[in-house]
Amino acid sequence: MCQLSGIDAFTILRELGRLNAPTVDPRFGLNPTTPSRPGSGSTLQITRPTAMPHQEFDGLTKEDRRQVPHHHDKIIDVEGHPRLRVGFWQSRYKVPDHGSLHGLPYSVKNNGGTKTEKSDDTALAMMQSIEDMPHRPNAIWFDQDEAIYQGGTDRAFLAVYIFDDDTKVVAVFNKQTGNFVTTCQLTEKQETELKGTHNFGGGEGWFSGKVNNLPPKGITSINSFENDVMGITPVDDSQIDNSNN
Amino acid sequence: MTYNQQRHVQLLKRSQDFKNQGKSFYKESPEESLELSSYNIAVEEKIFWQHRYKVDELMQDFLNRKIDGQEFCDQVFGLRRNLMIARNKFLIQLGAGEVKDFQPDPRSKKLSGFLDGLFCYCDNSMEDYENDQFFNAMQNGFLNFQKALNEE
Repeated sequence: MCQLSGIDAFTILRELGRLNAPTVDPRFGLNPTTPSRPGSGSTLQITRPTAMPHQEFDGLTKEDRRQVPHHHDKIIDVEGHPRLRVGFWQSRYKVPDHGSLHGLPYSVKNNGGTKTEKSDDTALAMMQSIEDMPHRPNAIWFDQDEAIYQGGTDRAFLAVYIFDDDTKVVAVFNKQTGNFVTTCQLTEKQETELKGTHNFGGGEGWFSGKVNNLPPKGITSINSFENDVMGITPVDDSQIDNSNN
Repeated sequence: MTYNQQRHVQLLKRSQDFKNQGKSFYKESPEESLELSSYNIAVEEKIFWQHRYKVDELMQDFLNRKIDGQEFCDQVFGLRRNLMIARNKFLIQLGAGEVKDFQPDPRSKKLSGFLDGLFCYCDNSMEDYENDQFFNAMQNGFLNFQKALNEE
């Protein structure tokens, strides 16, 4: 193995990779066991790139493993914006819960959630949709210096967002690594936070142990018992309880 | 700012007009778009407020180990999606003039951002729910949620 002044060359390359915009690193080949064509199967294990030492791969966290390079990775390279990588493994991991947002077939579970089949094919389709997001008519980039995901929590990181203002679907990238992290459809509140502060997903401290109890602010209403009790028309009996209890 | 249903309906129609032309309301008229968002948030928060006991029950079930983290987060995802569908339906009815007298519920501000935070926490922890960090975070969330509810 290459050694530079006693430092593992892979360590240097890895650190450089974290600092610079992502590229599909040619040093990472594929193990012979990796299927050369996309297929299906929900239990496919993340494979170690051939150029990555076993020890290094074994030491990776689950999160880091999902970011190891794969030959299906896609690059988003739009002038004036950071270069981004939509990783295959991370996409495969996220596709069951978020594939429906990108036009993939899904089933609706009893609890109302959606589930898309987890396979190479669905992962690739979602990756294609994300890669195409910057070219949608009303796509908006949020890559300002202060753009942050889950700001105010110990999970916060500088972020790049590609937001589709028509569908309200966002793709979240880690600005430092350029790697795709997640995708979801924003609520109105999250959308306002993203547009106003370039930060969403922090949960305003609800889960950090800091008691959060925001006083009423913003809109104030002319309050009356009749309005409180009768003011909202139910759109679906199973969805809205009109009692204001 | 006082809630004005007439203005809300007007902005919903403006937004729809831009949408029909394939344009973004936010790009074309950012101030009006954000004004509309503030009204829409009031609807979103009121709907969540009306379902707050479902979240309370769900969190208790998880913290009492009646359901595991996977089931808990699945239900969080489903609940959030259902509430977003309910919000969209309601806004369509509001825009069509089918809602006579909507008023935001000031109490609903107390739980503002809770479900979004819960959703993002679950999304961030996917397939890795069975650990102390996730459990402790949910415990903190539940305590804060309870505190807000008890101040009703």
